[in-house]
This record gives sequence, structure tokens and C-alpha cells, in this order.
Amino acid sequence: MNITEYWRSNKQWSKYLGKKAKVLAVSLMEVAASDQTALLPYSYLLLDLEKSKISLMGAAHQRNFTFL
Amino acid sequence: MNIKVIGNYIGKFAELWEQSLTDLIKEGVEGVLADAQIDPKSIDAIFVANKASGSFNNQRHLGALVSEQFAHFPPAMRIEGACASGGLAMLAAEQALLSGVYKTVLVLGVEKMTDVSGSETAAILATAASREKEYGSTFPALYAILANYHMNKYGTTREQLSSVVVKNHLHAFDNPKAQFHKKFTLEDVANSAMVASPLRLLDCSPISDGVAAVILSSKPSSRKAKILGFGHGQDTLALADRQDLGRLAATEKAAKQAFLMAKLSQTDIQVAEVHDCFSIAEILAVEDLGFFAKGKAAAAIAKGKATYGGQIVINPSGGLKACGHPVGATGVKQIAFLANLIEKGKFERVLAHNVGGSGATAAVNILGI
Repeated sequence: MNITEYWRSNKQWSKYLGKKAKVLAVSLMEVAASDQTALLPYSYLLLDLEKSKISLMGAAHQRNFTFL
Repeated sequence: MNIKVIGNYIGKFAELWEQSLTDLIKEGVEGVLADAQIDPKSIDAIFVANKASGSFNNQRHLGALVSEQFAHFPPAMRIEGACASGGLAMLAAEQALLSGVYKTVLVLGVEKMTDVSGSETAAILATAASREKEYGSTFPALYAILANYHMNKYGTTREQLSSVVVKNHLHAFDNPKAQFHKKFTLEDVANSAMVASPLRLLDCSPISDGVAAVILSSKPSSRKAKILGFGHGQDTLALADRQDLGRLAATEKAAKQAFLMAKLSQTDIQVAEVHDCFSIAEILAVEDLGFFAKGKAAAAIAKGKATYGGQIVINPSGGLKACGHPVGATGVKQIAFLANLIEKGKFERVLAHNVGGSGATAAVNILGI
């Protein structure tokens, strides 16, 4: 993702702060594209916010995580 | 419809470090012309399937690069639809022939992927996902989401995913052009390195270089393989916008159109090349194409119903998984491989299924005698 894409996306992400969502599916990533390898391992999640769904990275967590 | 496949050629799929993008194009053009045994001047137009030569090889404008292989410079255009580029180039060529503007056209698919590093390749391939909505995703990640959903909803198991891989690698032994001729066990797949859970290294199709080409013609020909029907489906680019993660609606739409045009049903099809970029992708494909009921394909494949002697033969070439997946070439390779099976008299009703992205685009072709 280049800097302009990051700036446009970051404006949107703030609206999800504090929201609760249902995890529809999740994958723990062990291999990533070149611009994300420094963040490995990270989770890639698909979340249901009731009125909409979003996909997110869950970075900087421990390997043995669980979702409640 | 009167369109026949009058020539087919598949180059070796592999890491072809000795060959450039242009070398592959030349090989494809010469190979398919030799098979068709026609005057090169009879090619009225060219449709080139390629996903990302601008990124992999710093070379765009592929239409001109293929056209200049001919003395008469036929009109040429490049078609891009991610991994479905080959299937879409087929559809564009078929529509051009049906319009009557052209009588004989070349469809050439090519991708030269191994000149960049693995992580660069992953980044280039990920550009087929939604850049605004799927940050952090890779293709394995998106199909891992689909796999997790399928496993939770239908009870699909690790062993069943592995059975797709084992089957397709066995099939590839009969295909000399396949990238891999190596037998794997269920345990090999289950113990391979994790890429994006639950998908492991051996669940994933490889990075490949390769070329494939077919010549289609509406002129009378003694060749056997005929296009009976085709279809094209689209869905949302981002998984988050999908209505149902348990199916690929684009595949369902494309299949419905193709079967309607061909006036055939699923039980008429003897063999299919389907888009198994990941093990879960084959399971989704054969369900969405209607060969197996939703939620039942994984068990059926594990029980041997998708190989010789079963209900239908799925991916006799080895599929993307074992034959290889030079992205732009894949959809054309499926047609070339199936047309060759028909020419040899092995099958009479066959289907090709090519998917772009994580299911946003799908192309289906049905061939027969």
C-alpha cells in the first residue's frame, strides 16, 4: 500500500474504534507480501458489524492467541 | 455455434529461468501454428491473456509484442482479469468470431513470474484483491478465509483438503508439461509449512512461468474439438461485500450461462479442468459448477469420485496445483489441454473453469465434439 492509499484508508479506520463485531472467519498469516513481512505473524479477519462487514489485519499479537 | 479449436499448444510449465517473456511468446506462437498447420496469414486477430507483465517484467503493450511475431501484424489486444485472464481472452475471442468480424483468431496466454522474488510475487498477485478493503491480505489469506468458513459451515476437514492435493499431483504424472511430477501423501500435505491457516504450502498452487495457445476458427475444419457454450460471471472484489462466503456466485452465473448455451447439464460432462489455485478452491468450484451438492464435494473427492473411475474426472492435467499456474496462461492451458483430450478421442464433453481474484471473476467454457 502506498502512502496516499494509507492516508485515504486511515480516515475510514477510525470510525471502527470501540465497535464490537462478530468474527466470521480468521486466518493466522505466516507468509505475507513484501510490504507486510515485518508485521508477521499477523491475523487476517473478516468481521461482521451487523450493518456491514470489513476485513482487518490483527498485528502485533502473540502467536498462541484465541478469539472469545 | 460453429467455433472449433483448430490448434492447441502448451509449453512446459516450470521455473523457466532460461526463457524470457518474449521467448515464451515466440514458443507459443510457433507451437500452436505448427499444431494447426495453417498459413500464419490466416490469423485475423490475436487475444493475449496476461495478468501482470508490467509488474513482473516491466513490459506492457503485449498485444503488439505478440502481433509482431507475424509478418502481417494482425490486430491484437491484451485481456486482463487477474487469474481469469485466459478465460476472459477466450470469451473475447469467441464473441469476436460470433460477430463475424473475424474467422480465425489466436488466443495466447503467457506469464513470466520467476524473475522477481517470492515476496514481490506475492505483492504483485495481491493487487488482484481490493486495495482499499483488503489491506494485509494475500491470495492465500483470502482463500484461507473461504476455507475456514467452509470448514465451519460444512464440516470440511484437513484430510479432505489434502485429498484434493494428493489427487491432482497423481493426475499430473500423465501430463509431461506439468511443473511437478511428485507424489504426496495426506500426511505430507498436513505437515507442510503453514502459509495462512488452515492453508499450508502444499495447499497452494505454485509460482510458474509458462505459455499456452489455441487457434479458434469458424471456418470448416476436420479438427474435432468444438466450443459448445461459454459463460462469464462477476461478483464483488472484496470478500467482505459478498452475500455468502460458502459459494462463488461468479462461478454459478458463468456455469449457468455456459450450460444453457451448450444445451447440456452437469451430468453430461465427463471431465473438467477447474480453478484449483488452492485446495479449497477446487472444492468450491465443483460445488458451484453443480457437479456435487453444496457441502458434499470435499467428502466426494476424498472418496475418489473426482478421478478416473469416479463420477467425473476433475483436473486431469494436475490442475493449477500440480501442472502449475503461470497466471495469464492458465485459462488458455485449460482449453488447450481439454481440446487435445477431445482430439485424441479420450472424452467428448468437457468443461473449463477459470477464476480471477478470490472469485470476483469467473469464465466457463464447455467443449465437445
